[in-house]
Amino acid sequence: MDWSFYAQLLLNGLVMGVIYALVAMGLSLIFGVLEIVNFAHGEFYMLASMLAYFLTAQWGFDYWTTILVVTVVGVAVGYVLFEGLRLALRGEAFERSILLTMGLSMVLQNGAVFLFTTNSHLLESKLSYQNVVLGDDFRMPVARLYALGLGFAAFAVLYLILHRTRIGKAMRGVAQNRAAADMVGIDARAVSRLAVAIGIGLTGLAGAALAPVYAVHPLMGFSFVFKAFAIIIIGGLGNISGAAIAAVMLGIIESFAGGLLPLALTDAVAFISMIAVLLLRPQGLFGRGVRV
Amino acid sequence: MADPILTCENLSVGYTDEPVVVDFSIEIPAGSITTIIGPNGAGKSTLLRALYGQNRYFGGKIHFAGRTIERLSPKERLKLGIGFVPQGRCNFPLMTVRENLELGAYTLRGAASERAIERVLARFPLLAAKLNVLAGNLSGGEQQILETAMVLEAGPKLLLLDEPSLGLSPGNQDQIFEMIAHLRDGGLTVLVVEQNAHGALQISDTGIVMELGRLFMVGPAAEVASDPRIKVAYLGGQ
Repeated sequence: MDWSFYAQLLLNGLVMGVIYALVAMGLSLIFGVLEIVNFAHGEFYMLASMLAYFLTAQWGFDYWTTILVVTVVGVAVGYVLFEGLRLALRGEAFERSILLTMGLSMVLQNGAVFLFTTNSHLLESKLSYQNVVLGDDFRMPVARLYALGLGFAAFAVLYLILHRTRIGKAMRGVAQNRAAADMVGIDARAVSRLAVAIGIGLTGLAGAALAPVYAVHPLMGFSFVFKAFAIIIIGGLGNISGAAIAAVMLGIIESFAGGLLPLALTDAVAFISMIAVLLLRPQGLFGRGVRV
Repeated sequence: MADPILTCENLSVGYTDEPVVVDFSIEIPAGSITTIIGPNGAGKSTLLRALYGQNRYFGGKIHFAGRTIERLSPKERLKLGIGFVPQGRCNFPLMTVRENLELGAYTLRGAASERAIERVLARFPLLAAKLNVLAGNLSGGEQQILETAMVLEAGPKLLLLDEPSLGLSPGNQDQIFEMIAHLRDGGLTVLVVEQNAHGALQISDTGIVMELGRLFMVGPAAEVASDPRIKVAYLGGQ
């Protein structure tokens, strides 16, 4: 094993980590403004991948158009999801939101199985066989590099929205204290709706960016939401930047674990990390302790 | 007495099926401090929330500065000139004081929001000294002042304060009452709900006593404070 093996593991880990980050940031945004865990989040990621597959393979959309269309559809679905959840919950019970989003997850997942079967689809496009070659045998598939770039760009944009724009600050405000948001005249409903739309949009982007990298199948989203939740906890609940960093770290650790340890341990890494973090630093790696 | 800035006529408000505050009528003169006292569950906080449009409206009228407002949303009322600082800590704890003040000016745009921030910083120099501190790390009294400053940025004519001295040390409580008196001297109308009846009535013009969701007594603050029934019930007198 030479350096290129490790470099390959690092690159794969980074790509996966960035995808985790997109999904986890979306989940964290939604958790922040609605105070519910969206257990159907992984299914939106799966559906986005599926949509990307059909757009490219069946209808011949190019890479960038596919990314754009899937992200925009994700944002639109987020709007509908918000209004749907609002009507279904009417400000009630946390338990109900768990059942509701889990039920939605099952319906979406099994609906996808029914329509598309459990076969994996491999998205082949012009990008599939393009590589950037470094040295003798270190190959970087272009689709992965694009996924990486998109992930970082999306994170940068989200960070700027949340910290530099009026509406973004209002989103953080609603997530931190809804009563205070009311006090200063923030329309919590409009702001939350936009946050959920962005959250699902990010997940759509993640699904579309990853479709050309890994096989697409209806069960791909199921374990994702639990992993994304572990990432949010590792990063510090409510800290979106923390979740992004934790996601990238986890992607890299998983990739190395997959390369060096028995394969079965790969998925355990996320949850072992979560348990370790909860034992050693209950507020999360980047959680800020504040006297309230 | 000055013209009333706020009038409630037979107001009934609550949360679910039954109104908590029933048939409540009151006039609040402009430029005065009015304190509402009463036992737990009398409906004091419910009344304040209703004036800001945060709970369920059953009937009656609310007039504010010549308009009928009982159907307006909190945001619309804030824009008309009613500010409400709820009970307990009500700020954005993981944001700095500066960011909190920026959100305080949320209903304003551009230069107006900058001016509003500068105005409250000039008024509360202790906030100016802590602009980069997270709000959650301020002391209780400082947080109460920050919250009041955030609401003042919108330029309200009427300020509703729900238990501003709750959980504060005696020194901090005095600081808050002093701030309220200053605000009135600056032309603001203040309506306060207080557990610390003694401290609040001392700075007030009018006292209101609520019991079981109804108006029990209203009068000049000094008169309310010296009423034997009130003394025994709320002021620790014999």
